[in-house]
Amino acid sequence: MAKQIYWEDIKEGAEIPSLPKVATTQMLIQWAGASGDLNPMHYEDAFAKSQGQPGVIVHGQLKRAWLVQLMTNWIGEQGFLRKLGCQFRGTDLPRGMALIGMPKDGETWQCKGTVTKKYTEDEQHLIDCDIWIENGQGVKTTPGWATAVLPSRG
Amino acid sequence: MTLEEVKQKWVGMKGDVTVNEVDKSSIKRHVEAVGDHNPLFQDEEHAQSAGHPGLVAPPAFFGRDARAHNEFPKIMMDLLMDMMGAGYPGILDGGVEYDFYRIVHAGDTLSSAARVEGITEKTTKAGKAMLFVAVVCDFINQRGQLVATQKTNLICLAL
Repeated sequence: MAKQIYWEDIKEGAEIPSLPKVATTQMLIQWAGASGDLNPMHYEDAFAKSQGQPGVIVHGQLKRAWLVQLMTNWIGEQGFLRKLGCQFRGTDLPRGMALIGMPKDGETWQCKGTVTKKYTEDEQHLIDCDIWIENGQGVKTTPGWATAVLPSRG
Repeated sequence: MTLEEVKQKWVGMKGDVTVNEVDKSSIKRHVEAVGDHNPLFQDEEHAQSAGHPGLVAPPAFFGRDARAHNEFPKIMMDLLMDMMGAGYPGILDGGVEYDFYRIVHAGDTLSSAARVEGITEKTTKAGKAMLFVAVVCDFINQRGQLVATQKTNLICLAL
């Protein structure tokens, strides 16, 4: 874990440290099992194609969890994630597997963000952020936003 | 069923309340599937040393659909069947929004019920009809406290 950040030390426009992520077909199965989302769009190629997709696609809810991780990693154990939202604008296709437990070469996604506003409200020290996921081509497939409460040096 | 009938039937409809215990195994399966190694979510002793009563459930633990993890609720399956019947068979996950109010720990019990907040007609860039269906869910803990509200936006595309 990174060390604790404090509200006073964060400037508007600051970048949140990027979180790199890989999605594989195996990880989608794992997410389907953990989450209970059994939509075949995420594990059966023929079904995904029948729905107009190029193949199985990464779960939106998994991408949302990546963005939550981006925020909770950064705000630290004393920060509190107050709001988070995102839109699933672009589809993302997982990497296939080369071996059991080893993905093929391919795309790596980057979860990123910037601080857009810093303010206090009801004696809480808050920041608003733009957050997003970029695919391997640098296209933002999943734009979002978040608000967090940060600890203050007082 | 026509679109107007679907709207009449569904807007304001509330699903059954489901009650789920947040258990350590489900948190473990969730964080492994996400690849999130935050010790607050994995190491009970660490969480306790940081002032928590037990393992912390990550904010992403609240699933799309209103359960403490993500089994698709019956109300949404029934709604989607009616959408297909009305000529909107292409179901996509448009996005999700959360408000978080309190931290949830292993051992907490959460009750939740999904409600259909609205159905809005829009047009895709390619000129096809689509519907935005907003489904909202409050999560209440065993002490009667609101811990999170989730709003899901489903997109239903016309044939």
